[in-house]
Amino acid sequence: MGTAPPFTLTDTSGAVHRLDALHASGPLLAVFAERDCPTSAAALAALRDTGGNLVVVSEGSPEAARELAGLAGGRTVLVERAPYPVSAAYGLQTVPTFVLVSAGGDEAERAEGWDAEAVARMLEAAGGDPGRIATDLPSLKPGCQARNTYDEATGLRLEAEDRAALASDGVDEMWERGWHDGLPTVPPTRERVRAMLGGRDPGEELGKVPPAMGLLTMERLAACAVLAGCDPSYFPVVEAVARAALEPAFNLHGMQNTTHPAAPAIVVNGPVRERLGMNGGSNALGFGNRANATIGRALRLVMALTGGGTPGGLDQSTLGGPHKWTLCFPERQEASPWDPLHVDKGFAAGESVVSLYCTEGPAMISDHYSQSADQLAATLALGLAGVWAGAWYPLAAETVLVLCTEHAKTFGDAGWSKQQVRERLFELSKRSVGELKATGSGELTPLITYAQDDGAVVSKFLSPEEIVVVVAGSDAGRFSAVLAPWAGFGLGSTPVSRRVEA
Amino acid sequence: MDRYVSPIDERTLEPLARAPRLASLDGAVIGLLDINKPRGEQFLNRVEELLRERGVAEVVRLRKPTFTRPAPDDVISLADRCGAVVEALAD
Repeated sequence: MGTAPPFTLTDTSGAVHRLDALHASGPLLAVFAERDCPTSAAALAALRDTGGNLVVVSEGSPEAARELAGLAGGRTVLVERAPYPVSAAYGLQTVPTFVLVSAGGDEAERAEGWDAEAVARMLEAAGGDPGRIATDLPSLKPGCQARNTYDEATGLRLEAEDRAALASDGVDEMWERGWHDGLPTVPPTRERVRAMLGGRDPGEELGKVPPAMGLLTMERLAACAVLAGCDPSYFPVVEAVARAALEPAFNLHGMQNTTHPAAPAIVVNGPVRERLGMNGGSNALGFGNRANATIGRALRLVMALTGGGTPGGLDQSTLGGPHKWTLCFPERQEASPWDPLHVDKGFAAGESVVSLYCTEGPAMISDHYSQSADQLAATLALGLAGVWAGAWYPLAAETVLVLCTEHAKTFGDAGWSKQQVRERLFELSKRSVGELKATGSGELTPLITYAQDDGAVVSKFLSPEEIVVVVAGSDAGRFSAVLAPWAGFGLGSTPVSRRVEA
Repeated sequence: MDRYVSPIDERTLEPLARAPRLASLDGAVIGLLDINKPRGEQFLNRVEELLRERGVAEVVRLRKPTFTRPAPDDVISLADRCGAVVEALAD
């Protein structure tokens, strides 16, 4: 038998344990075990209440060791990581293996697998009560192959696998609790939420979220940001978005209930765009950037969970749309010939600002062949005229036109100001009332359009200023997009802009 | 203690109690709320006729300024004097 090989290992709470200290006060029963081995798990459960000087050595990840600690009650569980040098020093072949170490540090006895008689004898020597071994195990049960007998690569892979298996537990629970939007969410553990809050008062009230009128506290907002997958550095933007969305003028109540596919679209301006690594280039309105995607998604989760807007419940949208998960993008100010959106709205260029619009999903307008700004404006006006329904005149609500950089450049090179672009689109979208009636569409704005004479001419917009121009997208490609609004004439939603507080 | 922070205000999960049902329409005061969608009035006019045939004492016609927002307090307080309210969603 000889001297038990000395070791120094940390336990599941990070405390360091040396073998000589563990047997200093009397014989020690060391149990080598592994989470995925049923005999190990059953043995630890059986020894839970026996007392005695007993320590568990867990082969595997810290997460696996914590699970064994749960089975073993209050026992100390030491973490033995790949490539398992302590197990190798003990010549381990099997888990569980029970090793009795005398007070003098010698190995006094050893048993492999579950051997009820030998375990009882060793436990008694270590000061435990064999009468309290609770087990349905047979008197002999073989164990499993010890991990130190595998090659190093296999050991590392096994650890990675058990970490992954345990990490997924919280995700499954999110589905069970209904804390999701149809895609997996990040479990809002207290630690993650605290990190998201970054020292803010968790109890601060931001307001009630319609239609369920759940109270949005800073802590609940942080929980939604965690669920959405936000990094804590995004939280000042998430907070500005939430405060803007809760302003009564934005009318979150109607937006949540309506049969229209309305949802908040978020435009971000100013230096925070670069700070968070937001994407205003290729796929600005699409997928693939964490900040773009998760900031918009955090607001959706506030609406769905705190505000109770669930599909077919308090959210009655007929078709909805993929933009209802998230639609948040930075303006690509550097590629614009004009002042950015936030400067148009009176903010300083150096301020970071979020602007919220209530919109449908993006509808693309392609123009690859126009040679002049005039021709391009005609194409864009045709696209704008078709939104909602072709005969729905006027929209009477702010409408976001996202110009791709090449389209913006065509206008810029021609010397057109943003206001000139708006005015031209306003003019070119005009139709006669007779022409609209001739479509046979019942979807006409009744009072101010349908009641007029056939010869009267109306624009798609009440004024050029209703066309909101922002620039985004990659360097190549001539695809712009319109974000059509919800109900017009002041009935729907009024856009809200808000400064991001650092 | 839950290891997670809930995004939900638990009070919103408690079901609201339904208003007591009327035992009879005889002598009842019934509110008809038009949420201001097109043709809602046509529907409620017919409902009013049917209610009067069935012995309703008074019909109170109510109207929201817009269907896109919750009813304002003055409309809700008018509804308070009604035994029951019928709401027209229309379109």
